[in-house]
Amino acid sequence: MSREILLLCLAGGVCALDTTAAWQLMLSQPLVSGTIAGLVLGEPQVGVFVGLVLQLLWSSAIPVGARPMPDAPVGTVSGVWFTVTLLENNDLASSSFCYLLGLIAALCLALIGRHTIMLEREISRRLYNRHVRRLSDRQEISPERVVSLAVMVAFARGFLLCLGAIGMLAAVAHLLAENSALSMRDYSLTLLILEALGAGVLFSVFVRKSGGRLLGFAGGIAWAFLIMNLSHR
Amino acid sequence: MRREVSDKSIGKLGLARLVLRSFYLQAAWNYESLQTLGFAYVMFPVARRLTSASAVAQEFAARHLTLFNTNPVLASYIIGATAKLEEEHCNGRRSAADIEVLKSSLAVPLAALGDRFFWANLRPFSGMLGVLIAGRAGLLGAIALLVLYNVFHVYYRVRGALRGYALGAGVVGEISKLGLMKMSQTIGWLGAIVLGIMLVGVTYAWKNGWKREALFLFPLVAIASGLMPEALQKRITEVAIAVGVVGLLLTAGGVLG
Repeated sequence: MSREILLLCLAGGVCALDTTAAWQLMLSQPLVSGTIAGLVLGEPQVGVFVGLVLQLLWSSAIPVGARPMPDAPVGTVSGVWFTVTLLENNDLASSSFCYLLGLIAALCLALIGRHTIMLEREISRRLYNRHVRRLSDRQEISPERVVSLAVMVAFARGFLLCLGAIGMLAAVAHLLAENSALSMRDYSLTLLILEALGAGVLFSVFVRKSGGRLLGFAGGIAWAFLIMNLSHR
Repeated sequence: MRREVSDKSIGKLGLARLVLRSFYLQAAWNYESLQTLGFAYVMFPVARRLTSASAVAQEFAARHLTLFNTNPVLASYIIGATAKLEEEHCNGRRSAADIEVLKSSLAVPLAALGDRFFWANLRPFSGMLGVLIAGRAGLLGAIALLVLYNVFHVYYRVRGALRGYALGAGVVGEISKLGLMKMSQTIGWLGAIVLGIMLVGVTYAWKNGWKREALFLFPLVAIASGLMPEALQKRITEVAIAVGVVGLLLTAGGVLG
């Protein structure tokens, strides 16, 4: 397992590097990074599914200019690991619930990862200023060393973030496996509330008139009841 | 002061190094200097090839540490043309100011063209086609995404550097012949067809009694169709959208079980 985690973190580092710092071959796209993570863990179908859903969610996010993007590769790789681990270890939860938790973990980690991208850019800014100073002092002309350092920082960020995320998710997975109260049935009410809240927020985003958010929540609750009603048939 | 006329060249190997290094243009991207340091890194082998004098190399390095930002793929046109102009400058046929003018005049139009084609059209289209294929053929989806995107990506990186170097300052006229606007429109139409296929899939699921699947897939397809950028313009935070997305994902519990 430790070899798999090391390979996953390496994949996370390479995919994070591909996001902005190097190549941009689209290894960082959730469908690709999810598939790679699935292959590393020996569960390619799980990786493809998690990557597929995240790909659709983030397909409209455009990395233009200074806009910080959610850290999709780190979120996807960690989310696939979490899903596979839950599917292997948690007998109480149904497979659907494992996928669900994996996707939520991926979304949360991608949002956390975005803040570390800002940190990476700040390090790059300092490296740039240092290089300008050294160039004017005639100490260093070539920018090669500074750029190599920036590339290493980008890789290390992805690698360490994946490692930290997997460590944290391992503790959550252990907790879920230990706690027998965490069954699918106990979560039904929570699911309904979250579903209404989530769908409501999403609806309200697209309603332009004043009071749109309220209308959105009402629509979200109606949507949630519709889905719950269908799931009981 | 008139420089002595000579005939130095970066050669084919130098050009190949430029192409390879162009993949690291954004290596040290930051809010203060944007792609500046990356551009200096890409261009530095040119200085090595053209001069051994430390003072000239320093002048070269300082010249390319002025603010630079454009689309990373189409930047290769500027990289190739700048290399040619640096050669001409070194051989005493052009002033350093010409190089600055070329860089700054090309950066904005190439950013506008490249960002629209690569980020707003090709990347989402490749992703959606990948998703469509992955839904039926698993691993092939990721391969399709990589192949489709990188055929254009690598082609324009290599072609840009070669044409830029061949044309030098004349590369400005080449930009209008790229045909990226027309291709953006074509990819937009193809994207609409892919989305149409997805919506047919959703309708099929609904008609065959898989109503929960249809309810789950429809919002995802709607988001993918480009509604999200519109939403972002309304300054709705991504956290709020993530909460909305979590709500939709919760329906996956019913779909996948």
